[in-house]
Amino acid sequence: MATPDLHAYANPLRFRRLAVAFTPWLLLAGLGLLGAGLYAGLFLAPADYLQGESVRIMYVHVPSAWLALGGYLGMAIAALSARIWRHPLADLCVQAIAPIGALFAGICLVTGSIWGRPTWGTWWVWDGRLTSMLLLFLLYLGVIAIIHLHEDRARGHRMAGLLAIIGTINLPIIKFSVEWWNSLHQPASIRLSGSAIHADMLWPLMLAALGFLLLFAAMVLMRMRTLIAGQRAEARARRLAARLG
Amino acid sequence: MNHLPFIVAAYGLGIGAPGAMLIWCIVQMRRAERRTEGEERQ
Repeated sequence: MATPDLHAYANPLRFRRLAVAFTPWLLLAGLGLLGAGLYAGLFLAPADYLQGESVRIMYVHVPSAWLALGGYLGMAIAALSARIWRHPLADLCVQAIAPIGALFAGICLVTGSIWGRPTWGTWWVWDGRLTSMLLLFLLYLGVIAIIHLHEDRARGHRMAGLLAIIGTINLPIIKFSVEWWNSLHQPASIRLSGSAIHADMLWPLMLAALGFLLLFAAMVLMRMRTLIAGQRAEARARRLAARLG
Repeated sequence: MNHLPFIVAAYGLGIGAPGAMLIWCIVQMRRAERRTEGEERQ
């Protein structure tokens, strides 16, 4: 069986052509699904018997958490492939994902805090889940800072990639924190084995999550296109300088 | 406790922040691609 060769997409111009074709479709589908999911979460899904209306915050909070975690994993895989296979777009992928992942980690933290106030009676507790999620947000900021602060861009990407890879240690800590330590945060309601959420609440959640995911993908592609265009401009400036100097 | 202000705040952030990021991504991408194409045409 033929294995897919990722280096076929290593050519920035070929990748850009694909990104140009996919971006509007991802964007349109993402906005449509997100609009439908959030509308259903606000107006069609029932209130929770225990938490009341505040459960509707779930339709923003949970997809943000999933994307913050999934985005970080994607960023770490890109960093790893940059180090192992020297994939020329992998470092750009790390740089593209970092601010978008940080945004969703931030949304997850703030909406969690907003949800916590009416549910737990407090905005914040320093328990395992919340603290490890805050650490994920700081790891994203660290990756962004290292890329931008290093004057030597290749070295900056190498160091940021290393931080992204080391930071994956935090992902299972986030996942299992509610089982390892006492926490105000509830355990996972959706697992591979099944869901503890009623179907009337589950389908809006899945719609919103899919909408956010497609929007996330569209934004990563747009950031990749921005970075590829920047690289082309720099390469051209270097060629001109070499010709003149 | 009235939950409505909490829900409005969460949805405002959940829609507004990705919306702002999306606009920033589009503006940055258009600006970068237009500049590159302009330079390559010269």
